[in-house]
Amino acid sequence: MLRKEVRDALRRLAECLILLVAVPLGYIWDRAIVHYGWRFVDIVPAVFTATIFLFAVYSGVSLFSSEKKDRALEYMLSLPVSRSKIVLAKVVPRLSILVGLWGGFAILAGKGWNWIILVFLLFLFFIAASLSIAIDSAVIGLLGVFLLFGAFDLSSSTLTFVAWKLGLISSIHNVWFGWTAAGVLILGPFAAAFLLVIRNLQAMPLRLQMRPYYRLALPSFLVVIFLILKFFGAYLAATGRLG
Amino acid sequence: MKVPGYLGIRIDAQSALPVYEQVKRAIKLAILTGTLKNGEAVASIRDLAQRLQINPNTIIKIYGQLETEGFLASRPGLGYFVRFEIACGGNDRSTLFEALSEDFVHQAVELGFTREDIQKQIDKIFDRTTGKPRHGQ
Amino acid sequence: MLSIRDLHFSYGKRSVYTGFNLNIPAGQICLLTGINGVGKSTLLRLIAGVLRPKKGTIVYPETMGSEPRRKIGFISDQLSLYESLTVDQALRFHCDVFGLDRIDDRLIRLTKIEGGRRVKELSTGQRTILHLNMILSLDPELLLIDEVIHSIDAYLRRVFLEELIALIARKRVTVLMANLNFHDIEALIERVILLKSGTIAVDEPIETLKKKVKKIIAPAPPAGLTILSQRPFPDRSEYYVYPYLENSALRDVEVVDLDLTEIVAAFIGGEYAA
Repeated sequence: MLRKEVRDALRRLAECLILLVAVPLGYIWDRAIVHYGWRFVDIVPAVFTATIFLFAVYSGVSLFSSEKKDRALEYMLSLPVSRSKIVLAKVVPRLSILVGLWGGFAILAGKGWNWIILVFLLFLFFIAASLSIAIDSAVIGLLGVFLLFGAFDLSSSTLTFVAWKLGLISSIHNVWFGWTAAGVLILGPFAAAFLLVIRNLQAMPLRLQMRPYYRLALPSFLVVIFLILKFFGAYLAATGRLG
Repeated sequence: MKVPGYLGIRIDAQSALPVYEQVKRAIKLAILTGTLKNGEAVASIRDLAQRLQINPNTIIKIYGQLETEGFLASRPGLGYFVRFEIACGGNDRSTLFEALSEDFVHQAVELGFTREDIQKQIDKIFDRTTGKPRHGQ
Repeated sequence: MLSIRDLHFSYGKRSVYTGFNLNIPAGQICLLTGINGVGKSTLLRLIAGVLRPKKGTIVYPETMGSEPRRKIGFISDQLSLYESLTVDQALRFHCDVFGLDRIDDRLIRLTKIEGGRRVKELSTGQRTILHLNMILSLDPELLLIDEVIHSIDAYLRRVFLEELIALIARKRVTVLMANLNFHDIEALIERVILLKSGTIAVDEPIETLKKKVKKIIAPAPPAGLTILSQRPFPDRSEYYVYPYLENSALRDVEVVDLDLTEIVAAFIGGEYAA
């Protein structure tokens, strides 16, 4: 079972790496159309960041996608493998790749990439996984993740603002503070939610057996790329370069 | 002419007579009439269960009972064999004979045949049956 | 002994079992039946470990060892399998997970299913045979079969039943079948369990049941006997009674023996009429 999961995780990574196509594309756009004067090296970090965030979400959402696509949920649950082993076999390869990507980029980028981003990536992963189990459609799962992403960002901005007003921080641009605070506040409930949803793993066969959701995956994937690029473009413009 | 057997017996699912009883009677009849000869091996438990599409545990029960009643003998590893000598089967033969004749006479009477008709018919069939050599081996 | 104790299970708000108990001695062949939606499939899934009970325990026979799920052969009417695998790959995957050295693919070879075809390309009948092959080849101690027998043709049904009979002849395997049709398997059944609203309405050995349930054809309802259901006809209606007792006071009636299908229909008919 683990072998299959490792293969699946690598496949998801490969699908996310398609995003790196944006690198030469962005460069070509810039040179040919926009002339912002961004250098090649400016775009690469943004795209890598987008890729790793996408992978966090996508690998979470696709935790059970091969079972859903193959209508094998009930079969999987009838195998003499304990629930925890199933979850571990699925989560470990994906998280390993995620941490590996984070580590690799942390080394390449130097300062600016720290453990807060790792924690946030883990959040995205677990939220995505929980939503994909609890909600039938992957599209809703992904959109749900981005709504949460937006809510998370909103709450972190609010907390930053409040802290700045209260004089706890010197600059309103200290976004990391907001993210840390928001992360700590939201950590508990979401970890609990994930565990609860995992316990309800058995409910899946009843609702998800017959859904040929896989056909929605490609268009929703494209929607996600578009959203990520847009979001990160705006983010970079507002707060300066990351890394 | 129908030869009494047991490999081809059809189980009557609608009879209140339990399956094991139906098959047991068929085997007894086959033994009593000599279709199954003394010393001959009966079908293995699995074989008979598969042919009749019934529970092997039922066959085990039947063979067990027939062994107790003296119709079969089991040889470990080799299966069950017929060990019936006609003389010992006095009781069962009579019971079976009674059951067979009761069915026949009862139904003939319902159809409106008289005692004379029935006796004439029995004679006719008897002559026809014993006039020819027995089928099988 | 397979012991189900104080089982509680519900789908969201809809409760299926509240305090259900059932004991099945090892090696018994049981039929589980009842109207559609009564919870037969759910019970099989709970025993197979696909669903987890909210409360209560399921204790497996000791012969199944410390990992009972390795010795359970379970097929549901969903025929769930990894569809994009080929038949050979599916068998190999099954072998690996159950820790078998090799798989006995006799049934598949008998029905000429090609090893290179993907599971999703198989017909329902072929898929059922594949599944049945898989569960029979892990040398199970407990078989949980949910209504798949209807969906295959008569020839394949016979083939499957013969394999099942061979297995039963070879070892004391406990079999629990959930069926709505049981013409072919009637002679295999030892015990009949009829479910009704999450409880056991009838639990009898099949021979006893056949003696106790009769159809009485009479001009009026037979006195002194409990009527399960009836079929009215202009002159003489049919009354299904349980338990049937010999009664010399009954005159001008026909007493008819029933097969299992008619017996179960009589019980279920009573439920619809109530």
